[in-house]
Amino acid sequence: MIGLIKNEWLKLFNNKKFYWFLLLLLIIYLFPVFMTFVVRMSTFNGQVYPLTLFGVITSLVMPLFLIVLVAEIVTEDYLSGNLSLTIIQPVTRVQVLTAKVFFLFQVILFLLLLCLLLGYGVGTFIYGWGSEFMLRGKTYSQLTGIQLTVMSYVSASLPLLAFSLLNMFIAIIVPSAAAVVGISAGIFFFSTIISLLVDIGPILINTYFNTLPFILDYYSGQSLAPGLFVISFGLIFYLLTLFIFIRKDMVL
Amino acid sequence: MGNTVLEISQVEKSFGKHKVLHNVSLKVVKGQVFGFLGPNGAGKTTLIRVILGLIRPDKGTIHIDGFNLQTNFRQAIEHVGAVVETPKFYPHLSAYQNLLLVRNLHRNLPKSRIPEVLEIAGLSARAHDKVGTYSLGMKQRLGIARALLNYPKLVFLDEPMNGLDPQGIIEVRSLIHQLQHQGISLFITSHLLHEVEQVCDQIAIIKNGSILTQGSLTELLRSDLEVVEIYTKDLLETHHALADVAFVHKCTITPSFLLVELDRGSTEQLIRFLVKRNLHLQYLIPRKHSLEEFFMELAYEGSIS
Ligand SMILES: Nc1ncnc2c1ncn2[C@@H]1O[C@H](COP(=O)(O)OP(=O)(O)OP(=O)(O)O)[C@@H](O)[C@H]1O
Ligand SMILES: [Mg+2]
Repeated sequence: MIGLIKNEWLKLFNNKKFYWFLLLLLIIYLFPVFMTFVVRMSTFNGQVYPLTLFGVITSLVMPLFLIVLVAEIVTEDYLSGNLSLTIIQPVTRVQVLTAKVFFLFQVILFLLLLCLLLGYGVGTFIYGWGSEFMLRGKTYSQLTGIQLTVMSYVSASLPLLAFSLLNMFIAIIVPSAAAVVGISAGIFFFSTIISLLVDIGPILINTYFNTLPFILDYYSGQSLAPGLFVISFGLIFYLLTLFIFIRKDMVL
Repeated sequence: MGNTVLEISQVEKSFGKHKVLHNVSLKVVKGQVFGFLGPNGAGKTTLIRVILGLIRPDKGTIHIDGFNLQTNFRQAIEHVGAVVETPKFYPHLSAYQNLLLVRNLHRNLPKSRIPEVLEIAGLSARAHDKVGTYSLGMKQRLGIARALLNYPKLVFLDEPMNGLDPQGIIEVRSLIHQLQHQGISLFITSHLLHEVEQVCDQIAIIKNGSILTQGSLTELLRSDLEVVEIYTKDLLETHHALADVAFVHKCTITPSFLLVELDRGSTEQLIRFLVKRNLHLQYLIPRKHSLEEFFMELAYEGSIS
């Protein structure tokens, strides 16, 4: 199992697309800086900077990256015949699929933590740490600010993983990587638009990407019930994918 | 039983309505080179995929090294190496990295085994080049190297000579002999019948998903029959005359001669028969029953008999 996860990382680190994505993240975190120089206003400080970009990262950039990554490690891996090679090693199919899920979780956490550091780094370097943590007109203590920020970033890994599991399900049944990306992106944009237009929020996984409101709710004493939805959502698609994968005839 | 590395019994597989394997049973003994022959689409690759657990059979059981593939997959596959169709790699990874991916999935397999198999395949100098830059022949050899990584007891090679130049074919053939000397059992499919004839000691012939015949090479070639070509002006008449002759088993018309299978030792009788019937016998050529002809006869229905 550890060998399987190691292999996924080895492949990722040798994938050019990954480095382009890291560059993109850097650009995104520098972008507001350019903007504030252009319009000559600065309401940011280092403490709040990571959260100002949190929504864009978790609700747009990460989902799109994950759609491509999942298509690559599932569909592309199968179509290239390399998945078959993995299957004929002394590992079970359950292990092969589960390793991919663990790998995705690690990648998501790694990227979110990288973004968190990038946010603090860029924000503090440009604007200084600042004297207070102000969020949506409310002021919190500096320590609370750090807590809220870290908890939001880390907890976003769960809905993003659940979303990846939905994509994994699509990736195992659709026999073309381009179609997988198309369908997944279609579902993603469609449900994003739907969630903006009508308020059926709780049943769409998109509404959970930005975990900040949930963390704030939790902070003001509410339960973590939304987490339950996210986990069951992920679990259902994991089991569905597993069910299909175990029975799949590997003819490539 | 202790000597059997692979035992397949009564395997069946359909893709939708199309039945691809019919009741396939066979056995490979330790150290044996087993040749699996059949025309395109006969089901050779499908059978290999079933044996490797890539495709689930509808019926039947597979034992590798005594382990049931369906219930003890990991033990069964532990000492198996395989190249199925053309070997697949990650083109942006080096040969070394591609092999590392496999070594990472085996317990207790030292990294030093990787340069070892690369050496066997003659690829040491290019070990750190991306596989995307490799020629077809190099990929074929790298595939074999990868199949040897886990010190296999049983190796599957699906058309190993495919795409190789004569030099490459010689190299692969000597590699096969080398493996055979190490006591490794091999399961080889090939269209190059001469090659199979040269390296295999046991063969099976498959057509439309059914095994037509199997046995040791010497057994299959010995046979109780001999084959002759009859050259005559009266092809049709002769063909007709031979139809109810007891010692003639099969008579096939080709544009220039008749291909006749008859009881061993009855050639003289055949000549006397033809002369007595006043058929214009020009000459008669005895044929060595090569595996290729044997294969052709069994696998292709080219005869008008
Ligand atoms: N995934 C699949 N879906 C449907 N039919 C398939 C599939 N794979 C193979 N077949 C069919 O099964 C039959 C056997 O195919 P297979 O690839 O096993 O033949 P083969 O003996 O390896 O042929 P070749 O010498 O061309 O490699 C063919 O009729 C083929 O069309
Ligand atoms: Mg084939």
